[in-house]
Amino acid sequence: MYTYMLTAALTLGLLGCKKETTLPTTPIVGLGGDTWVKRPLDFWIDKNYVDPYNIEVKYKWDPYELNYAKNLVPVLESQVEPVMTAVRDIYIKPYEQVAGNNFIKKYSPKLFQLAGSAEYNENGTVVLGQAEGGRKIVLMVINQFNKANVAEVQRMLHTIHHEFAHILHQIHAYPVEWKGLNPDKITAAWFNTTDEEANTQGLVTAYAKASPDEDFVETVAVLLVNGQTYFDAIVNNPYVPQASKKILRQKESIVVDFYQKEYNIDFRKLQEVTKQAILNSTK
Amino acid sequence: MIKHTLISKTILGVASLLVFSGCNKYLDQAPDMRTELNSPEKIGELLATAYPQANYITFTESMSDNVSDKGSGAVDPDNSMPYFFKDNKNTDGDSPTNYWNAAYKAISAANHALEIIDKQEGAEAYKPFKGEALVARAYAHFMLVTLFSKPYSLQTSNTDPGIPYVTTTEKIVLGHYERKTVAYVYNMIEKDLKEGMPLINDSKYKVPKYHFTRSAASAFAARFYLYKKDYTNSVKYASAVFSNASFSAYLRPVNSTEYMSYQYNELQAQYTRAVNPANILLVEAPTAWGRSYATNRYGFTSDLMSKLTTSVNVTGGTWAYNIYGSENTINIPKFREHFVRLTLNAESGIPYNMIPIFSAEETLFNRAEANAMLGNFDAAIDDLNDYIASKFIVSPSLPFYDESLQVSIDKLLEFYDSADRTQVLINCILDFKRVNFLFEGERWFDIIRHGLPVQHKKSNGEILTLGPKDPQRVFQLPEEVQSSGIELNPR
Repeated sequence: MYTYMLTAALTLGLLGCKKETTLPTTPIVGLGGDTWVKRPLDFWIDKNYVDPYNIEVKYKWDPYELNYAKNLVPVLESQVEPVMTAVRDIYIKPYEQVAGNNFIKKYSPKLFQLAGSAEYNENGTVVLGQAEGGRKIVLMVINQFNKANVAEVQRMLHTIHHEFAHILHQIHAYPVEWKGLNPDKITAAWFNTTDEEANTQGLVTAYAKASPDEDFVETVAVLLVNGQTYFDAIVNNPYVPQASKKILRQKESIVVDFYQKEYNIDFRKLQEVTKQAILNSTK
Repeated sequence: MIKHTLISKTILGVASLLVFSGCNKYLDQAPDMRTELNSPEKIGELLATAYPQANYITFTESMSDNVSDKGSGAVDPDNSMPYFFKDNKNTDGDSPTNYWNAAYKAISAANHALEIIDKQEGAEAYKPFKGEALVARAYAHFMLVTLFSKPYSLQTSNTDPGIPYVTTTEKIVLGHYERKTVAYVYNMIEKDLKEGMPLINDSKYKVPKYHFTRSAASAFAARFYLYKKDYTNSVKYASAVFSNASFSAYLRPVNSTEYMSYQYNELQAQYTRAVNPANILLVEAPTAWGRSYATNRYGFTSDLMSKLTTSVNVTGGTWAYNIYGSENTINIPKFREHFVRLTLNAESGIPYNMIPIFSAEETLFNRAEANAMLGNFDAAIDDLNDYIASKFIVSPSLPFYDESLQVSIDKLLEFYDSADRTQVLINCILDFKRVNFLFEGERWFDIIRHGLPVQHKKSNGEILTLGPKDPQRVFQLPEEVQSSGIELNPR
């Protein structure tokens, strides 16, 4: 008979090992074995992320921070500052302005890991970012970022706001009634649906069909980054049936309430400030 | 001081008096809390353990073509060894060895019960339990011969080695056993099944879904005769499982509005619930399967999903299953874990899953397959259409069933591009079964019965093929059985 831990099955591999005669003298890269001199970019990161927020920005190649089963491309150094400037101005600053100085310090993940390309899945979908346990956000496709391209900036910021919303609902759960709004639409094959089809089913994007959690954060990200006008246009689309319109409006109000009740944030004001920040950044 | 001594002497004297006088009656009591099998109820309780309390799904599913390499994820030998078509040396957990041991433990419980019952001369009250014990003994042997011997074949079963058919309890440390032949084992199963089935009385069970009821015994017989290629009997017993000719009312209504609106945990809980009419027999088993099948490295991938559930199928519609998870965790919720803590406040313990052994769907497919083999094409088509009406929707944007999704023999001939009516029916049944029993390990039984090849890709691109004649298709017996004079399977 065997026993398991309550929360996770632990597999302990006990290996009989042969004793090596000598240990390697050269330290292992990444485990104290590498030294490098700080350059202007590192000072910029210190000034804008490490010192004010205690957030680490890792742009150097480290396969163990990423999905080692996929082929990924390292980051172009020249892309780091533009991307992280946009992140600061369109994600950190609006939260600071609306929720106060301490909010980001308290809740923001402490590590931004950057990757040059996206993660390509076998089913034709791509991973643009990932949030892990409220501690780390992986931001991908850094090498394609162009601050003059509004759509591109929105896509990148959509990823951040999406992942940050995951962290917020992982700390304080959203109301359970959310899960009951359209459980019949949940599917792992969400990529077979277009965004427009998803809209008619009462979801903001196709990816929102992946799970209620994804639905929640997609709704948050669309409301913040694409903005209220965009969201209203979805709801008012004549192809969206009445029932779905109602669901979308219900979701909107749950999001607004969630921010107010759980984090004391005026979501409408946050939307307004984020919108302004996107306009300023893409000028 | 003196007083003290006196008192203790007195007490000693009184105490010894009590002990000696009470001697006879005291020793008449058993020194421990052991149960004596002296009433039909107690036999019934013993028989609750006459079902193999182990899970075969982990190794049958991992060996089947329902899994592929995700590239990353949890690696456990119970999952990876079958994927690489290798013998799993693990003796506990979800290994074939564990299943073997659990099956013989179940057989031993049945044999214990039968030995006691046979000593009760003509006692009517024991009859229902004799029936249950015989059918349970037949079932455990049936599963063993299916997993550890070659599939039944009219040509070779008279020589293919079977598994020991044990009808007595073991009273010596290492008994000597013989595998005999697959044909012998099948004959013994049939004998027990035929003798036991008429004796069963459903009203004797507290929770009937965990015992061989009349329905469950018939469902077992339908599967047994199908595997034995006795199609007439398979149809006969399948039709005896439910009172209606059509199984519609018993199938899981996956495409109903209500079912589609279930959330993850509800879906998970209802699937193996005893009140669910689709479940005919459930067995509880300690297993890590329910918590690990979504995250196992060798599992269901998005490639397989697009091939099996979202590609074009014979109905022209779409499977109604809500499939959950992302890239590396795709799953259909089917197993609700029952976690038994080691002590009241322990954080560790033993996870249990309820394993659906016989279901309405499986019986329907068995009947349809037997009918197809007998040439009763219309009957097979009727069953398949009942099935389709419970599992398919027109499309994700038109999420309801429509009669246009029904199949006919012509539709099958065209879709499978063949002129052989039996063959296209079998193809359709196997395709439906493959999706219906995802994560339930049933696909393996079709693979061995129909000689289907299985291909598994390794991470370096190499493709492993398990051909129809591969000796690895028969799971290896535990090494220690050799000390009872049993030969292992060739490798």
